[in-house]
Amino acid sequence: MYRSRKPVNWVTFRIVLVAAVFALGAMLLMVRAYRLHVTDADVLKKKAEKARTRVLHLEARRGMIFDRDGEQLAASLEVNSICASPRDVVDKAATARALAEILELDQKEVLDKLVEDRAFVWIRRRVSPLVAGKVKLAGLKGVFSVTEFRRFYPLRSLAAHAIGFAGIDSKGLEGLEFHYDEDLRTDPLPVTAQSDALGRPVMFASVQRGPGRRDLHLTLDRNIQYIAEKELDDAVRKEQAQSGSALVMDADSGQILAMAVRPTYNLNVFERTAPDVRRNRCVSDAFEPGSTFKVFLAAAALDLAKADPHETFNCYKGRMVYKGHEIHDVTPHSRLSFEDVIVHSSNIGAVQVSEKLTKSEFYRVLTSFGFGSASGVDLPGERAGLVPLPGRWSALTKANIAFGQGVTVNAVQLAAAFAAAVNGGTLYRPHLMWKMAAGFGETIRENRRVPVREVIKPATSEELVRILREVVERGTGRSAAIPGVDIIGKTGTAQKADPAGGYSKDKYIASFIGAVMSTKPRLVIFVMLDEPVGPQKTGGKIAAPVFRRIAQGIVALYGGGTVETPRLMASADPDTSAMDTTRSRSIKLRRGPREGEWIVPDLKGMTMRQVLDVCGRIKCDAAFNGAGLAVGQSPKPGELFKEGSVLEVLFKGQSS
Amino acid sequence: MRGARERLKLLAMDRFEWPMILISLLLTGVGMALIFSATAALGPAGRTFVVKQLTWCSLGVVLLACVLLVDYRLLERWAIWLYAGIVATLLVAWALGKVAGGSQRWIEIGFMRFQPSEFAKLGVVLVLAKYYNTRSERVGSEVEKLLIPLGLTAGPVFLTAIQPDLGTAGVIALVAVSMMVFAGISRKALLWIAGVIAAALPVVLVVGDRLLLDYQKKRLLTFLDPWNDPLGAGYHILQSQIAIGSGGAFGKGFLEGTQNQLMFLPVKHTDFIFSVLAEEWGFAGSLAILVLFGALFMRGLSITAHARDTFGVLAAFGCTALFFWHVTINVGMVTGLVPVVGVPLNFMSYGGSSLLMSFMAVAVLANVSMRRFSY
Repeated sequence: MYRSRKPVNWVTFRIVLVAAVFALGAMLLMVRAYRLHVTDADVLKKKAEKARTRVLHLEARRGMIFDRDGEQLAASLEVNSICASPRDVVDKAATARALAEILELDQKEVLDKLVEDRAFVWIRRRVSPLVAGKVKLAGLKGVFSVTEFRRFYPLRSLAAHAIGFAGIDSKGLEGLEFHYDEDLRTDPLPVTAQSDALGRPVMFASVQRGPGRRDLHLTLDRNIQYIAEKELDDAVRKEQAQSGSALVMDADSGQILAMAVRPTYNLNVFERTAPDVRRNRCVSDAFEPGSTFKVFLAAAALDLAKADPHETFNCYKGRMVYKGHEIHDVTPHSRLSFEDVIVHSSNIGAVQVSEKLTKSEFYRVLTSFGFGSASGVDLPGERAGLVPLPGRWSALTKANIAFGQGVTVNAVQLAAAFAAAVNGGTLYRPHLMWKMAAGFGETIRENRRVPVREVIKPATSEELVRILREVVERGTGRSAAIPGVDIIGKTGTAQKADPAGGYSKDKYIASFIGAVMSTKPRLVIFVMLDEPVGPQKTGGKIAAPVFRRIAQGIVALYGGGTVETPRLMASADPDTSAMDTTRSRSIKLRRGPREGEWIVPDLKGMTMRQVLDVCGRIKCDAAFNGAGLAVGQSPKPGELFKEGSVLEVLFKGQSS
Repeated sequence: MRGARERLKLLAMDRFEWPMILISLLLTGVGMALIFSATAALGPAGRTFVVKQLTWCSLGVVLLACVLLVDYRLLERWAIWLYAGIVATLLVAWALGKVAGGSQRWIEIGFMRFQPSEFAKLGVVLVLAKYYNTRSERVGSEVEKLLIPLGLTAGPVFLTAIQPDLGTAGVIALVAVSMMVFAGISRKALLWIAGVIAAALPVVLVVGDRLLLDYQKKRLLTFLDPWNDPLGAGYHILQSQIAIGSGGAFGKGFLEGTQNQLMFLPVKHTDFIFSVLAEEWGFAGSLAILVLFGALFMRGLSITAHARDTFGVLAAFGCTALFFWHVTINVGMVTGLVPVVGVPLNFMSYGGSSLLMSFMAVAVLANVSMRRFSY
């Protein structure tokens, strides 16, 4: 045990050597670590970032569509989809039972999904928030809900053809939804998600609202639209027409207030509808207008001073041979003044009026009214219709066009042209968009009225209005008359072209184009019934009454008889519109001359909520008295107001 | 009657090897935290890794205490038997071991599984120390003196290599060679070695190409150019480097390592535990651990320098070299300096056998240290 210590001198040198080697090794590792940690860190960090982040595109809420009063016509509703992460579900049986009960699913099916060894399964897609709330309340581990959007059309088929629809992927497929898809579509929100090595997203920030949502505000008035739809519907049913359309347009701006098409469909289930039913006949169907076209013949003759309203024409008792062809009048007349040619819709007279115009004169006026080229209405699939070039006109063409044969037009074109003929002579581009607005506020862009051109002289237009008033008072359009309301218009009964050649004997398009001149704005209303099968087939007998009922409905709703003072209705300038009924959702706030100053807005008629919204925007303290709608305020509208001071508002009436 | 102090002296407890043991316990503690973090993403299942490691750790501490109680010369006396026993278990493992991770390296005893190859490292250290301790008394040529230790090493290395576990075999070989060089090799023997290597290299390359398993070849090729196949064979190397780099100077914080928690890191709780550390604690953390290991090496060499006898010197040196090669290869592999081979990081990697082996090596070192003045 006590042997002497062995001298180990040889050790010392080697150990120092080894220590140096070991130290070198450790140093090497440290240097390497330094390189990775510090020198190459940025490059490697980026690589790490790239490996674990995955950009997901979350569906964003598509812009809404409103009518001119701010009523929702199309909205994307949040729906919830219930999904689960089976791996995190502890008690699978109990979870399946609870889910099956809430979601009304088969318990076994749910259980099957939950026992799968997967990170994610859908349990049920697109459930209501109420149901999703119940699921949330149940507090099931590993079960969660995600937000998706579903396009919803609250008024179902109202203005279906104008609005169109967006598909499941929130992409506009038809109508305004298609035309303004660029605007309405909100780009999917890129959300960077952390994902694990297997590419499964593990966490991502939830996004509440799309930042760039744009809402489409239309010139459509849902009340007028409703009236037009209802009357058109009744007529189409009564006359058993193949189809029908009705259009209401502001004569002084080209704004379309109603666009009704029959047959129609429920936008919420658009996929169940045949494409033929979905077609917007107001723009996609070009038809021969028939006698309504005499309006433009008259406009041309009057404007070029080729005919005097009192000049008379021989009407050959309803039968005239013109260049080898017989031309008939429905009601025989012996001699009619130019005015009465229109009033009684005499084809024979019209042909003779057309004789006073050269081909190119007539053609120029017609194209000036916009015929033959697309109206530019903001809807997809417009068919421009056809006005043949004068060089191709045969001997009969001019005569045919004089009473609306040999040309085709679409309803919007016709209404816009008629508006130009009666509004003083200006053609406005028809449109449905009033403005595009950002989510809750400022207008991004606005469709102000676009005058396309001056078509005829104001005096000509006045004269034309006088003649067209006569049509309703004593001519073919008598059934369009409403006592006490200034109505003008022109009937149209066109034989439909037979595919076999020539014109069909029993297939007609009955139409009426007219205007209510005593409302403000003046309204052009066009009604068309395609292939009515009732005993009456003429525009004067079946389309004019529809016109009358629509006009009556509008006048009853908004006023506009000549006897009483016309009440202000939705006026041409949308900014001052809708003061009397419900307030538009956004009101214009104007800044004062200095920073932090505002011009106090008129809050009358607003709900507390709307007032609060205004207060938030002008940064004032609100003092509320009473309940209901705002009836008084201090300071008064128009006064200067400093941010941060108190705005007193008095509310009265029922709370809304 | 002896006083308490006398009794302590008898057990050499008055010279208790604090530095070594504290460093190793510190490293084990850090390793435990890293394993917790590395397996956190697995949820409750991950927690069992930590619990198991804790169990192994306590067993290791108990074993360490036991080894400290006896004089290391007992180990010298038993070295050949320990060696024989380990070679026997390697044979058993080869014959009926459990296949895991593509190789047959486990032996199951009741509820425990262990890797005899881990203990083979220690066995070779002890048997070589014993051989060189008695070498001066032996007769024989220099070549013979070279061939005997080589032969003693070759057995375990071969048995480990056929499991196949090239990493462990390599570590055993490296430790053995380190010890031989440290113990002293004559010029003649050195020339012999150089000659043999030069002659054998082409043969090894050709035969190696035939015999190396696909995954082993892939690893070597991948090491040369990891970006060649970033999602396949290069994946380990790249993900590990990315994790380290994204840790930056001060790291992302405990449990905050995205590459770790999102499971981009491969086998991160075992061989790649260092990259978890690097990602979550940054360069500061890596440096701290490397400094700790550096201190461990230096302390080991200091113990070697002060050892009482040749066996002590060589056993201590062998254990230190064992740590050195483990750390160098493991960290080198994690940082992309050496090819990916299955070499765990002492004290820190998850794995009972490795942890026990590390504690026993510490026990040997501490034992040599504590008994440097007792005769």
